[in-house]
Amino acid sequence: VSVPIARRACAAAACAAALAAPTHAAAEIGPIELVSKTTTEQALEADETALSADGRYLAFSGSIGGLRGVFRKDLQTGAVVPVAAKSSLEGGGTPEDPAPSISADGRYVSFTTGARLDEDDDDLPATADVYVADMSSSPPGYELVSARDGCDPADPLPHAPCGLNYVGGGGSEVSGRTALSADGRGVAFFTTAESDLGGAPGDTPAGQIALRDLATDRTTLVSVERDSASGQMTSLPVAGGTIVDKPQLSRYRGAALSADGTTVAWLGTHLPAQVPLLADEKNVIAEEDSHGITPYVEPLWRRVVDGPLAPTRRIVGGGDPLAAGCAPTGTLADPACQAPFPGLSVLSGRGSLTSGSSGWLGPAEVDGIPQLSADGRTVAVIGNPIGSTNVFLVDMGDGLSRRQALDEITREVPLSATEPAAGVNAQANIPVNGFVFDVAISANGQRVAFVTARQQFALSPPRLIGSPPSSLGLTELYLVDRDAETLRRVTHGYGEFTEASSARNSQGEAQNGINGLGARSPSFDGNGALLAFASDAANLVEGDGNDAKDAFLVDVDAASTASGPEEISPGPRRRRLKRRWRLTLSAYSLPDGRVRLVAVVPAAGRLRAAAWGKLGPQVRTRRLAKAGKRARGKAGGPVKLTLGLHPPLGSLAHTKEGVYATARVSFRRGHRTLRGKLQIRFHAHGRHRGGAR
Amino acid sequence: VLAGFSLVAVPGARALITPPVTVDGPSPSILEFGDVAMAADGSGGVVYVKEVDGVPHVFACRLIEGEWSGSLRVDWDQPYAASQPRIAAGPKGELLVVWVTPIATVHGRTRDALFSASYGPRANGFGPSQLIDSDVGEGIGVDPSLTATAPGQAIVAYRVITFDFRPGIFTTAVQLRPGDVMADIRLARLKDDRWSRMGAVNRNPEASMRPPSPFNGPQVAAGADGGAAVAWQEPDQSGAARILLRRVFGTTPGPVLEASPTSWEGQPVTADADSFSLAASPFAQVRLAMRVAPESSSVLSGRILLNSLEPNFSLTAGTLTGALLADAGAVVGGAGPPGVAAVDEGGGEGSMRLGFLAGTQLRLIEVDDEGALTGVPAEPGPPARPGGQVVTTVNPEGGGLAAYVASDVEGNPAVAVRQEYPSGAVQTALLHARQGGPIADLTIGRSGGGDGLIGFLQGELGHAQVAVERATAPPASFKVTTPARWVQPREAKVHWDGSAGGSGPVRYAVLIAGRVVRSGLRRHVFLPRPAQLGTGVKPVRVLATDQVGQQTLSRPAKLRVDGEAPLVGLGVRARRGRVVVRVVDPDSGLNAKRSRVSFGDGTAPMRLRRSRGGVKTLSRAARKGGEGGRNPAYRLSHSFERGGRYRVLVRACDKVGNRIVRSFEVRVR
Repeated sequence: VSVPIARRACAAAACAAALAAPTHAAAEIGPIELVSKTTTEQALEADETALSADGRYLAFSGSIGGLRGVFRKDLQTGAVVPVAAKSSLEGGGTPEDPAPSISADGRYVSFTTGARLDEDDDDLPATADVYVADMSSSPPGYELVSARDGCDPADPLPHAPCGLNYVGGGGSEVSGRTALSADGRGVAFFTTAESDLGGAPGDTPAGQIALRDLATDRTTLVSVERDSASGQMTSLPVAGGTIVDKPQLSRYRGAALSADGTTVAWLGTHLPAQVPLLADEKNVIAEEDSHGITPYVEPLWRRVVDGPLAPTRRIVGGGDPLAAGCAPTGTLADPACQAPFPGLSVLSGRGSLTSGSSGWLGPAEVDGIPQLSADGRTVAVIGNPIGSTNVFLVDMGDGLSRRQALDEITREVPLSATEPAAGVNAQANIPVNGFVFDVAISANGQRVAFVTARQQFALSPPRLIGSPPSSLGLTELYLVDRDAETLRRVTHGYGEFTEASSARNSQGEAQNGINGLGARSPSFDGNGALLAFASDAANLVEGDGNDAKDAFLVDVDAASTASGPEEISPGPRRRRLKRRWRLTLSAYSLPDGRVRLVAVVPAAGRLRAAAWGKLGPQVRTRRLAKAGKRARGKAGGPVKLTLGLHPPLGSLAHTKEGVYATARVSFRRGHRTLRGKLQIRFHAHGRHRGGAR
Repeated sequence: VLAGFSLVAVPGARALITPPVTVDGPSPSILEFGDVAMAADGSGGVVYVKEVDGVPHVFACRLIEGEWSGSLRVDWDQPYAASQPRIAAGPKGELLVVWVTPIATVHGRTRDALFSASYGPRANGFGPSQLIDSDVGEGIGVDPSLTATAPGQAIVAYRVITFDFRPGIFTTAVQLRPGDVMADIRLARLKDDRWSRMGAVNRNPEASMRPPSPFNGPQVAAGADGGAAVAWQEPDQSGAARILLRRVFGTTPGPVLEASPTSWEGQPVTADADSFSLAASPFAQVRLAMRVAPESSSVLSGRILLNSLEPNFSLTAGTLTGALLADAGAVVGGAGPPGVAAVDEGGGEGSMRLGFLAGTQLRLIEVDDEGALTGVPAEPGPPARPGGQVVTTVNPEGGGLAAYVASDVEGNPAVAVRQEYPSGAVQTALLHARQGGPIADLTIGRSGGGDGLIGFLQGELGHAQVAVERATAPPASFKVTTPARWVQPREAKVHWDGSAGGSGPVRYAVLIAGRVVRSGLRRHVFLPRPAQLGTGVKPVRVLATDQVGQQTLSRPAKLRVDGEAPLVGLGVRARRGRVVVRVVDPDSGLNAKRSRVSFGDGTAPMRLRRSRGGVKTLSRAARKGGEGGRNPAYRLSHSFERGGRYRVLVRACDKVGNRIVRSFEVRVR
């Protein structure tokens, strides 16, 4: 018996529909909060959200209060302050995508700008440069990031400008959300023009990735070539650049820096110069690079903290020459040398399939920058190695083959088993195979947020829970919890959880997410509980009236654990029983001739008893004995009295018959008195009398 | 003895709705809530699915003597993923669990089976799993419904999807509505340790059924004798889904009865009956509440109806009484799914309690003394999530319990509980598990005495918690038995029936004349000490107290105790040589046949004769009144013929055997 339990992939549409059915009706996330606003006005538009790890600050680009640029919002106080902004009426200066990132405590914000914020060191007016703003002062202080190695812009002594010099147009840029380390001192940036990054004018070709340490003023080249003979990394920049130099593939350009500042990941090209490849892979990649529409790309990863010899590694790949069991001469035909997607490195013209590049990623609208966990060991990356774009999670720990390291987070529902890419992201097929456009990963790597208009997910786990959108709208933000193996939709209309994100264009027509319109730029706080994002949707929050992109925040955990106090009303009143005001009497003869009288009294009080009787039928009744006692228990109870005949009569108890008498008992509590009497017999028996009782 | 009154508070009455117990979680490994069950003695259990090493397995927690056990693996001998567990409870913590798990791969597709496992009263874990049905398709939408009637007897109803109309597979079956599936409703019966399958019971196996939903799985309910009823949803020839019902006698299903109406006031009901609730009383009186789907143009759209089967002793037990509107008026937007509970006592035809959500408010329906359906007046409670499930119990003594998922003032999900007591008092609560979060799978297990175990899953997956709320009714009323005649104190034994229901074990206290003479008793018999009794007619009551302090006081019973011998008096008319012996027993009365008087003058001992009037000198009899006072006095007069000293010896015995021998020395002049 063989049962595939761990993961069931349902290929049939019916099965996918069953998986999409809500299994946990109360798994909704919300409410969603609109944060791109001040106390008096909503931002004209907001985009490129980046949330600080402490969850207090949100950096975003946009236009608010007559200013346009990068802003930082204090989520506790609601104060929005410009990081680097200028009047909306002024042209130029700030690029369209300043791509802000923010440090863990929100103090530092990195961004790209064309403005010369440090005029002494940034002496080229027409180039883009990277800055870090220190928000601890007002106005903020700016530090130039795209600077030469070892040059300190803050040096008070006269010095040559520290800013990089570029040949031709371009400059330096950063990626949004992920360019800045948690302490705000490390910044990963990339160049789009030939520069003097190596120290000499024009010594570094365009398309390089560098890491600037603002604490030490060191600029380290991350994208370096590998000596194919020795296998060692060199200090030479990658010839032709490691990032894609195509304007239409701007979303492929960038680099992510892990929060601890140790690791950089990017979507790289010119792979033969950087990473080990299988023999037949090199040819295919070279062919694609030289004759393809676009160069071959794959996500790359380098742990820079390990020093200049730290290798650049493939995150996925078609071949895996470093896998255990793969011979140095191994080829793609050798199963031991195959990475999860060996078809990547097969010349197939895939690059034309979706009008994008060849290799790992095709669609131009998709953000191809790998996202790193805080320690850089876990990578979330979007790719379309087979059909539609999907999210993959890769463990970059040592000793794992790429097959072992990779985990699929999403998979589209294929329309054709033989042509998996057929009809991908077509209007009619978006619910089953729409593109995934953007991704983010939490600091611990356990949560992944991604953006898609797809509504059916063929993998389980993660199990899709919650209400599916009732219609096709813009791209939605989804959250994967790897601990719980669940997948939940974060964005929804404010009216119903089933309401899809929606917006209308200026002609009033409903828009869809076929080109990525909708949610974007997801960003976690350090705990993975807060999730910020931007969206074109106009129905996420009631009162969103700008018909433009806005920044939003949602606490994905708050709803799951918040609870009010338990309330239990009093139960029925205690039963109160009527206790009778009553005296219960019983008596028995003691062996010595006395009588033990037991009176059960109803309360504390004074108990008295006297025995009256006749000593003959023709004599008067007289008192024969008496006794008294105080009953102390509040609730009363049995009280024992002992009655003994008066001394002259004591011997009568030792006669055969003894003495019959009537015991008169009175119980007094306050002014209330209970009386009773019973027949008693003073009669010695047992050993005192020498006979039976 | 003078009589008076004072008030005594019986100690120990505490909260009756107690805070829920989070039996497991919050934990990322908890995946699915299964079911909760409660036995008549207050024991019970809850079952759920938890992941172990990446594989979902069935776990249960037992409630025994008011305490929850730890988590117990039920399917310990099954390696594959389990789902859809259900549970039934028997006395002394006995549990029976069924669940669905893969059993084989056939033609590349997994085949699931229905299994069971039981936990015996003296066991220390679940036994090995037993196969009930080796083919329940792919295990989707099986939704088993389990009911146990007695230890070793149970019945399970479940659904097996035989074909889901997936594309590319040829079939001659007709899909009545998009999304419909072909399915069987099957029954299996447990007798001792063997399951016997009874096969499919649905009316038309060739008609497609609606796809599984949280409210349309089959349901089964059983009476005390094992007679059961099964209800399910099935489309008729018009394509509209109806609710059908069958009685099950032993292993024989009765005829199919259409419980939901096909027409109403001359108009066809074209909407589906989309949710229903089934309950059976101990005498198998069946109550079936159902809802016609809202948001439809059909007549009865969004309305709640109730149909019933008479108890099994009735000559018309096999005929439905007919569907009645049971929502006390139409609800805007349609009523929520109904929840019904039934007992035999109360009303003109037994009692029941039907609950559903009317918008955001709870609406309760019950049976009045004439057997008519009537709304239960209730103050507005916390707002519910519209369309949510309501679970109910009904107390044979009166009142009942209802619970639903609501929101507190801050909008956080909570379970709202409303309990009405037989006294008419109402207690309400708004409860949640250890941590808050969304609530799902609200389920109830009923003891039959008005108690309920309300189970639910709270928190999102990844932080899910299995929580159980124990809402208990007071112990059921019971009868105290005392000796029917007068007895001596040593024979004054008091008996009483065990009180069903209540929370956990019940303790008893004996009250004599309003005074607690003994408490903390678990047995149902008590012999008071003679000193606690005295002599006379004593009112005896027994107070039953359950573990949470709920109390039920029995009706008073008379305990007739005679601990005193008859009273003997002698009157002397010395001048005339005449003596009069007077004997009376004011309590049990004199046994004249066993009483003699010897006058010591040579005459034979004589019997006492009944006196016409009272005996003034023996005033105790007259003063006591009541039964003792009605006892006749006896007297005997005798004249001595000559003077002298005589010893008059009186031997008297009352009816319970108290004896007295008195001698009097008489001097006659």
